Amino acid sequence: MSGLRIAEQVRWAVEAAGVVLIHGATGETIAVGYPRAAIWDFLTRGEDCERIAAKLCAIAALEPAAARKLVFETVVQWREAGLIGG
Amino acid sequence: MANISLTSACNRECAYCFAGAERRLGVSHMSVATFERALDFLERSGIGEARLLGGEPTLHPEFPRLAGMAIARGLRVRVFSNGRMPEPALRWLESHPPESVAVLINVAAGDARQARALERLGNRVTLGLNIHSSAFDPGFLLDLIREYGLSPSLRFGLAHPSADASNRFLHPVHYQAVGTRLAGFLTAAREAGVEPSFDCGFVPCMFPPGSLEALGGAARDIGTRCSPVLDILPGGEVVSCYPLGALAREPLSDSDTAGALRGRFTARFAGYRKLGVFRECAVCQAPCHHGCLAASMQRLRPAASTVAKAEPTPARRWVIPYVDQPLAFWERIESEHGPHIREVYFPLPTEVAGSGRPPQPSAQLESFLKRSRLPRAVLVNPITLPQPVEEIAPPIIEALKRLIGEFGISSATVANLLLAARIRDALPALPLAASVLMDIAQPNQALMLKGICDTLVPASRVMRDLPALEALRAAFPGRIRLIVNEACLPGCPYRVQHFHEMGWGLARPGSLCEELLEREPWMRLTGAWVLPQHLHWLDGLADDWKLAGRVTLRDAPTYRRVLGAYVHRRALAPHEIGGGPASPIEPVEIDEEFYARTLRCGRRCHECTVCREYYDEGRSAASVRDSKRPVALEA
Repeated sequence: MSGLRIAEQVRWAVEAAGVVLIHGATGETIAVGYPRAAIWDFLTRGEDCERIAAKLCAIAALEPAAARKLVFETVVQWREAGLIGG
Repeated sequence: MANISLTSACNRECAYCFAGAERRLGVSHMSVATFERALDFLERSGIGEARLLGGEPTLHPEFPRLAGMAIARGLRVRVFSNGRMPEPALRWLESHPPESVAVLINVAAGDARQARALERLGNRVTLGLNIHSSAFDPGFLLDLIREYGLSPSLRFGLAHPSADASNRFLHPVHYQAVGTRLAGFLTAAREAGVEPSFDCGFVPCMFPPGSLEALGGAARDIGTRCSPVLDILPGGEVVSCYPLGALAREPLSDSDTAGALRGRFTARFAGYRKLGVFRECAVCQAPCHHGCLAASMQRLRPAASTVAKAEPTPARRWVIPYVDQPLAFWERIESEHGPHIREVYFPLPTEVAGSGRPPQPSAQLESFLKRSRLPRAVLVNPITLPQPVEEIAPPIIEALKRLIGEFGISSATVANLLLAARIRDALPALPLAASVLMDIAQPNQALMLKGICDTLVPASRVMRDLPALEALRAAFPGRIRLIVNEACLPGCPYRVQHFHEMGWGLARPGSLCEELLEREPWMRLTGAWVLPQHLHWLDGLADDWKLAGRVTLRDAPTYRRVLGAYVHRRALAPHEIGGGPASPIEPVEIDEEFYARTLRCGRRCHECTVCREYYDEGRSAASVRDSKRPVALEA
């Protein structure tokens, strides 16, 4: 999964406990805690899912398989919610 | 509560005005018919007060008539003014008793044009202060209340950002400094019998522990005031409040009530309410609405166009000097700070015109120009040229063409405006910067650069003068570049001859400020420098930062240390920044409050002892510190 794109109307802010995503059109707000907040952060920096999973292993002390599962499930969920495309 | 904005016209140019976006659309006055509808709306909503604002509401050509219409409906009138009122409006206000008319005048220290209204309106007036900097000094408010017999009350507001952040606003990072300063002042105010009140956006955590309790009822609203106030604009539209006006507005209907409108605006922004002005707000349990919504929304980041481009790229803002170091040094600079570096500047070869400084080592320059990937720019800035401009311009232009062709020079800095014009004619694609030596310090001078210079490096005498920089920012449409470590004395009378001697062959030029500084060493604290930790005071006033120091930063470790500190805003002392001859030479610590104070002091050194005392205290503190250092035992 590469070439992901943050949806045009999504804005986000870093919070003490993660990130908050806001859909500009609907006003819907999603609070994302760690370690999923880190996935969002890496996505906005242009990382692809494989690299994000590798980094999560280190920063969230996850097994490679668990990290990969978390990243892919999260991305699918965000895609369905219209937060990312691509 | 709802406000009626009678006009977008204003006779003051406050950099912090959050109605600026409306005002830039042009002057518009509310029609009498629209005002009637606004009064209907107030009545329908059960609101007993007509709050008239602007722009400057008294500049509405029919202000007395409109205010009279509100009184005729039995409404109390409250006018939000800057105090610079035309005579008819002032006469109308003073002819009505304080029970039916109140005036809130937002004051600025030393604004003589407000005095007439204060004198004539007396106890109808409550003073207001919009805080847009943590360096504010509210002490003059109590003096004004006493002097003019004003209402013993004060209203404090915070300068909030408009949705596009085009105004100067108080960034939440300064809230604690503001709260601390306010807490100290409010104790004195209450002792003087003056009751403070707070407009929207104040949060409890900006005040020192315990200080809110001491304020009693005045603190009641702190933390809970951010909701749709409803501003009715001159054209008849309604916005939640001015700062959010660009995001949502509705026409003033003939059936709506304030409650219904507030409900719709509240729902419109409900999602954003989860934000707060600080990232810690999300986990804070205090009974607080987390500050101004418009300020909170400034924390939001936009969607990236593609994730591949989403890596936040630091703006290329730093313009740094060439020093004669091997290519490896420049590669290291590139790897450490590359995305921050806008240009590396070097002098035009001396045989043409030079840069007005003694020649510096340049053995490695060609290698740098040929092989470094850092953008490079050229200086053509002797303070005086050795020949008339028309004679010297052609060879300079030829030299520039060669540098552009061979090395891809990206811009030039020029100290002579006529020469700049000739270069612009010959090389229209080459961006030009007006050198600090053009001594541009006033808006009228900035206008002279129009069509010729793309970047302005303001005179060093305004480097520590925020009002002057704000005026230049407003007057000059291009980029503003501030030199952070030059350290010359403001308006130095030795400067022209010193630069002349430097430019024309004297390796150790005279005409220096040394003797003066021996007599008055404290003057070193007044120089044109800003420490890395204080750059934030100038954010919004500068597009680029320039590091001087082709001589003082020649040593590679010093260069890297100073550049790294400035880029990452790590603290340095003034003697460590590689400044010029007027730099502080002793390790004086410069605290935030002192520095901020000098940014708006107006350089009235003849009647002020702040720098003098600070310097003396700083030196004795340093000597005490030194005397307490453990003495190293010899091996």
